Amino acid sequence: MTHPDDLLSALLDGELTPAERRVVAAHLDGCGECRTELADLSMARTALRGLPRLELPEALLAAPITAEIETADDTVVPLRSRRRFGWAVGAAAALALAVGLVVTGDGPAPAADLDTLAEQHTARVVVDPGFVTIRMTVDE
Amino acid sequence: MRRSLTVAFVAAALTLTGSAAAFADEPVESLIRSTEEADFHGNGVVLTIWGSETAAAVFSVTRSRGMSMVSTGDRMVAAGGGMLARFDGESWYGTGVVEAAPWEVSDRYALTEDGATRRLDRDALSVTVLEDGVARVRITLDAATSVPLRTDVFDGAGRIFRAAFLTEMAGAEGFTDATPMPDDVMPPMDDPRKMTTAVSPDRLPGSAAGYWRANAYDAPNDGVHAFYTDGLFTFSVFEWNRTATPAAFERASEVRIAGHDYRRIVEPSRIWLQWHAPDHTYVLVGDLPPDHLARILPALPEPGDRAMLVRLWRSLFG
Repeated sequence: MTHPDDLLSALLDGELTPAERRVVAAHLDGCGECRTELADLSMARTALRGLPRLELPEALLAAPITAEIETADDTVVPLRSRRRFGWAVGAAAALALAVGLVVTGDGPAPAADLDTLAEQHTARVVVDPGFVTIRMTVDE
Repeated sequence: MRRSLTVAFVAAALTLTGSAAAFADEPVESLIRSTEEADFHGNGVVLTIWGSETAAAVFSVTRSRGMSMVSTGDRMVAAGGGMLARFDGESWYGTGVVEAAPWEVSDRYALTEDGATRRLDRDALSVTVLEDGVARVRITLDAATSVPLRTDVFDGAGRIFRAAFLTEMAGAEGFTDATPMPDDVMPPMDDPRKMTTAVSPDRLPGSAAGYWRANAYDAPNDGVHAFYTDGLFTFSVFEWNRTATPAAFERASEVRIAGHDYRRIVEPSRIWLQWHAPDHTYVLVGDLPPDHLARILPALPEPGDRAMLVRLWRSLFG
């Protein structure tokens, strides 16, 4: 049996064509080895996403930028060409602000936390009978 | 003790309302009920394929005495009749449903038996749930216990939209001391969040393309939560009377459905959509297939024209 090793990763990335997806899904149905590999891949990605985001050291960040500035073309672009449209930008901003205030109504966005919404949805779902294997999996 | 506390809460909290089930003798309902009766433990994979997006997860599930425990990595959910507890790796959060309409299955579904088969070295039976005569869900059931060993959900074109495979399964006789049991996992929760009934949401329809609004609850941040079902699939619509993009959708892909653009997130066992109508924000989450989604969205508030202002701005000023 030929295993679609390369396609499993592409499946998770959503890079397969519909025809390829059908082939992989059909193969997964009958191949425990590939289902295990798909599961491992999925878990590895989850673990990677959970790693903390690191900030670059300032020295590392500053050096290339300094070099870029030193080698950059020092031609000065006159601001006047942009300022000709300044009144239009200001007017449009005022218009957008006014319209935005009307559209957005009574203030800032609700901070919808998807975990809370998922919990509320699932709590109601599991009141009724259903197929436990497809309706209650913990999602990432 | 912990289990008795949980069961007591559920018994006290779950108050059924409305009329009796209209389809109590239908075979689809009987099938679904029979899959819930067996106690078992298993490991499996679930994946959802929607257009260009795919999401997959490996999970472990234990079903025991009417309660379920599902885990993926360090996240766990334990649930039983109206009570849900979620562990996020650090803490448990509980949610209890105070009122729920009786469960019914739409009469558009019927059952056909495909025949005997083998799966996981066990005798099994393949059955198909037909929707208006077309295959919608195919299930391979363990012949001895009715545990769903494999479940395929098809989209309107007959393609697999969601699939769940158990890769290992043991019945209750195979439980060991190490088997994670939901009533052991379900923690004592002094103050679970209770989902209480909201006033009827006037902008959300009572029914849409074969689904009916079974309940409406208060939602976080002064929103409304409408829960829809057709007895087989479910979705919830959350509505807030403000216009904004929830943070989780800011980097979500866009999808065009029934002539409108929505932001979507695909997860292994559910899908999310988000959109704005003037002065309102909507989030939909559910397990329904895409062709059902395309049919119910026109019945919900349409995406508004705030994006037009953004396009206008960009066309004028780049």
